[in-house]
Amino acid sequence: MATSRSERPARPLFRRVLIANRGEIAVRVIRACRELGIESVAVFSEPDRTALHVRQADHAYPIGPAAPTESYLSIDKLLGVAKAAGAEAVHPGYGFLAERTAFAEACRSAGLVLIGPTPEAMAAMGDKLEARRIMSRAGVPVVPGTEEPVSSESEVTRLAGEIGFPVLLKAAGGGGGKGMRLVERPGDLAGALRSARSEAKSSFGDDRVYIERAILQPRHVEVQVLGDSQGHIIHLYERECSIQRRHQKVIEESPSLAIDQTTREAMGEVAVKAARTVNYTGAGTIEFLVDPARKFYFLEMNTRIQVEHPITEAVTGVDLVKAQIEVAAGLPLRYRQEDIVQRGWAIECRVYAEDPENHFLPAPGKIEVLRVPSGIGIRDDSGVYEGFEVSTNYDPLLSKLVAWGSNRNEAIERMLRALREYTVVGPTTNLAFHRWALEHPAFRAGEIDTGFIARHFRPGAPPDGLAADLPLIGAALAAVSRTRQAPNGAGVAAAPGSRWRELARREALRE
Amino acid sequence: MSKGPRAEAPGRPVRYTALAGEATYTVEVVPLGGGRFRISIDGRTREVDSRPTSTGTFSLLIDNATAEVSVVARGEEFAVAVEGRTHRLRLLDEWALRQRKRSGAGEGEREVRAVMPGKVVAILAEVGATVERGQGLLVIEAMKMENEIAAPRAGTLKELRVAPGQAVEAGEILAIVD
Repeated sequence: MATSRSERPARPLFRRVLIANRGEIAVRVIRACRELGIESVAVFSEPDRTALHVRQADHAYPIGPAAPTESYLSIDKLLGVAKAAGAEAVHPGYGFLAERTAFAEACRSAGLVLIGPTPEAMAAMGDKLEARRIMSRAGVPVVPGTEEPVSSESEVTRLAGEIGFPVLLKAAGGGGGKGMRLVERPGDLAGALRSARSEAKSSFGDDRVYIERAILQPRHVEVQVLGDSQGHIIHLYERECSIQRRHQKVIEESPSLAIDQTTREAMGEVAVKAARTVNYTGAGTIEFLVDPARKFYFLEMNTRIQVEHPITEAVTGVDLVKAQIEVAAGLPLRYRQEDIVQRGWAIECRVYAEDPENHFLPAPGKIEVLRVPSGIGIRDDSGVYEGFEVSTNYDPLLSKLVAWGSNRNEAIERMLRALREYTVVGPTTNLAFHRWALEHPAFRAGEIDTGFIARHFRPGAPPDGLAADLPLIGAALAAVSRTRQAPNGAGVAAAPGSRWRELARREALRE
Repeated sequence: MSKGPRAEAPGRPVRYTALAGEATYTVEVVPLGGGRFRISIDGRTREVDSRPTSTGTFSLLIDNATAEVSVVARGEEFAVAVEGRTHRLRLLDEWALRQRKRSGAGEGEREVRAVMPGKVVAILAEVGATVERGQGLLVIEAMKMENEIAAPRAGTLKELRVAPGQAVEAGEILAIVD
């Protein structure tokens, strides 16, 4: 665990900080601000008036309708709130405007401190092709491929031949699997190029596509870095994020079983070198792919706080969000590289309102019952509460459940214990999926790569025995309690006047 | 205010037919008084000590084994959370079962409902067609994603209540598979 080299100053670093985000990450930043004696300013769209981040912040301002483009993505509205509220700095969280260079520039012009990197560093790393060029020049290993966008069929055929199949076509302007195509045969190249370009165009407004060798069965390992404006850059070791669905992470752990100590130190040094090439300040993450031979390749740099940052906090003891705020205020880092030590093992399960039985599609709805686990080694970073309506407008992340243990096995057992304590009724969640994953022999053995879910997960077989009867027993008890109560004594188990009952009534009338 | 089963006098047996996925179960509950119930599911009989705790939640003791269930009901529809998994099922009491039979609905009939508001973008099966469990019936666009709605059981597509372009509400009946 890292021990801080300096005490915090007596005066708050900022008087007020605007949090240009919502959900659990806004709550996370509000908590850091409060611990630092900084007033927090929340923003909210119309349906978010009663969201948790609004309830927890010191101040809150409406910024328009539900559609993100008219609220959380509106630079003008956010800068307007910052001015009206007297905020000195802005924390963008992740997603929304966190990696938009235009936002970073607008903050600078408005005299606001962005709690994040400079617009220059953001721009350099935001363009995937530019980032590849910079890294490759700095001697950072990158996946073999092109440094220029490819546009013609003949060019892509020639390059794919040089690189060797299978190849990956990727959008220069973005990530998240959009505009990405795996091509295994020369005959499929032309069609894949067309569809990748059109998808890249519609997703990022940029149809530039490049080509690189496809690493098969890759593991996703990333390194956390922190930089200050005095030029110090340290790394906080790795996180493995190989358990993904639809190219999005669902389970992360730190450390990673994919690498040995030598590789770990080498990756950390490379990550610091990568961050140094763009004079990086604040918290950032260098993502690598690790192939089955433990060779690692630079994938991209995320110039923001990551969703999965709590597992690094758990094993290093460093509060990353506070560190972001401190360096944004101009303070030097409170840690040197040798202060950073990994202790124990941490796992994060992202709890989503989504249906693993139905292609992991979002399953929003009102949270009728919510009970959150606690106890030794458990942390739940939530953005919701009982009674909250999970909206169709935003990411359906409910919370991030983090378990820490003295070793991987203890962390897994502790997480399984916590998942059993976790109750959500209302929206369908992936809680049962997490239990399936953590109990899977391949996961227990550390045999994971980004294809884990696609290879192993099949929509669940129902449990048998008493476990199979418990849902029926529960429903029957609720039904009996409803009929045995006075006519108006119905509680949650009855919910009179609900939309569903109304529907049933209309159905009955129709017949 | 949620009170749950009252821990007092015994009562008469109550019978339900439960529909979950493709399966149908016969459930009988006999209140024994004092918070205890005798519950039979397809003839598997257990004595259950049930006490309501927090919202919608019952603490159970079955042969001294503990369990906890959290239940939200919407008319006949029940969502029951057990150890992190939410089970959705329908419970028909004898009255509801009679109504259903009178209206000509078979016991095996299943309604396909929209889980979230959206717009119908495609119909994948015709009325009268034989469908497999899990076969796509229609496609709904919601949250900028296309969501294929699958048949909850094998059978015949008896009714389609929506058309392409139509907006649907959460909980709205889209189709009926018999």
